[in-house]
Amino acid sequence: MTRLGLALAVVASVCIISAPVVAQRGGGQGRGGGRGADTGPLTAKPGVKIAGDFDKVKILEAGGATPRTRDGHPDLSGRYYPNHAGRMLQGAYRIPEAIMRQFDPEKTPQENPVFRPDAVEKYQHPTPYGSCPPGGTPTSITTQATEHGPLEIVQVPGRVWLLTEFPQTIRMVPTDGRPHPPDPDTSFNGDSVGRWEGDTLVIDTVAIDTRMRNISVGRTGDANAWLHSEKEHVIERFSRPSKNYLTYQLTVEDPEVLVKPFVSAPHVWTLAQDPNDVWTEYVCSANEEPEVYKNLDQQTKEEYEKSGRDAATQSGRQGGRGR
Amino acid sequence: MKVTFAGAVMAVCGLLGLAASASAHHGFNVEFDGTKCLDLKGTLTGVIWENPHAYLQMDVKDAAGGNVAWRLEMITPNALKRNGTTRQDFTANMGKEMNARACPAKVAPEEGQRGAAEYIKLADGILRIVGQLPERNITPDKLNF
Repeated sequence: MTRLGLALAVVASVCIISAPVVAQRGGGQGRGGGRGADTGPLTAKPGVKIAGDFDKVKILEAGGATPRTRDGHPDLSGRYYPNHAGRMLQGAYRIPEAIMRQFDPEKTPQENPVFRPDAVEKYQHPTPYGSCPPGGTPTSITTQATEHGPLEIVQVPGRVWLLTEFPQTIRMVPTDGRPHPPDPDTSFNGDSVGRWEGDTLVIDTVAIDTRMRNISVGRTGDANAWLHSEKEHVIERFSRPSKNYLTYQLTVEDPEVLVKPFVSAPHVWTLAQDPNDVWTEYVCSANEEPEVYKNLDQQTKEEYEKSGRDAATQSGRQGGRGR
Repeated sequence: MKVTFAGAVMAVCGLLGLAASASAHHGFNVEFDGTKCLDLKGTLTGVIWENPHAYLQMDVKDAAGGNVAWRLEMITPNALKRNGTTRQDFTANMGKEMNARACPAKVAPEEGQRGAAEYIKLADGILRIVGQLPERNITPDKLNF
């Protein structure tokens, strides 16, 4: 197991080192969930300091072998960010795309969800403007592609906790071998059970409240959100190829909405490096004021409502750039 | 001095509280006009540190010499804090000169002005990225401050 871990770490190191640092990219295609530079590196005038040291952000090294628990499984515990830098990058929109994104679409292409033609009208709806609904599964994780917030994993014998700051989410996943209940209650996060397949933790989720939108499942951003049916089945695969790197792969099945299952590329998350980076309260609904939207002009509202549906009718690879 | 500052913050908050509603979680283009962004130079008068968006308030002199109160939306407090901009940075620079590059709201409030900040520079001289950056051609080295 240790040798395997070491081998994986070496492979991860090679992949990371060989990842191209592309400082300038044109267009909005294939952004891998990031929102990095397309106009040049982030530099200030001589002598001017930029808060957050965004100009010094780099691709994180592998950091050593995969940590393991006593039972030999990888220990996924840690706080991770949805990028290659091991830190929060919200606001750092001009850093190289290779650091910002979660996958390289040229190396690991990700096909967008292909919707059933009869499902577009019923299931394609952007998130209601100005509201802060719960995320649900898998959105609490996938929406970090544009929220840039942390995912914290706490792994203890028999269960794994998945925590996100925004949307503030607590998921408890049993890993003791139990199956789903025969008739699980519906909830925002659904009923999840986990199992190990080699070094990969596979979390299987059903019974997700149909009011929950899939955000950044495929195209990124709230405008591309889509609803799902009661038949939705979510499979998430977590692995930790090295100490600093977590990989998240998502499959969403929903025969009422999708022509075929959506299968994501492996998405990169990296371990937070700053010991002062701690859990922060983020209760969005305290400041939920959808009346801002009501005051907008009709054309703007129609453009927002229409944006998601237009994207949904264009199946194919690597879609819009999100928000 | 403390009383003056607190009073100023409360007065501005009170004024804006009725006129301009705090926006919640949203995309930029729906609410703000990224084609009309402008440079603002004035005095930092307040900060509101709340989720999902923090706000700063500044007074800007208009052509007639009067004060225009701007309320500028920023990104979330937890992101600002992790990226080197804290609430304490604003309080330490309160009442002092500041610069902002900001984009106005599509619908102006009844009083003052409302917008989304891209870059700011408080009196401490540190350049801070505090919002989304719709102006792709305005990099930090091209700012007028």
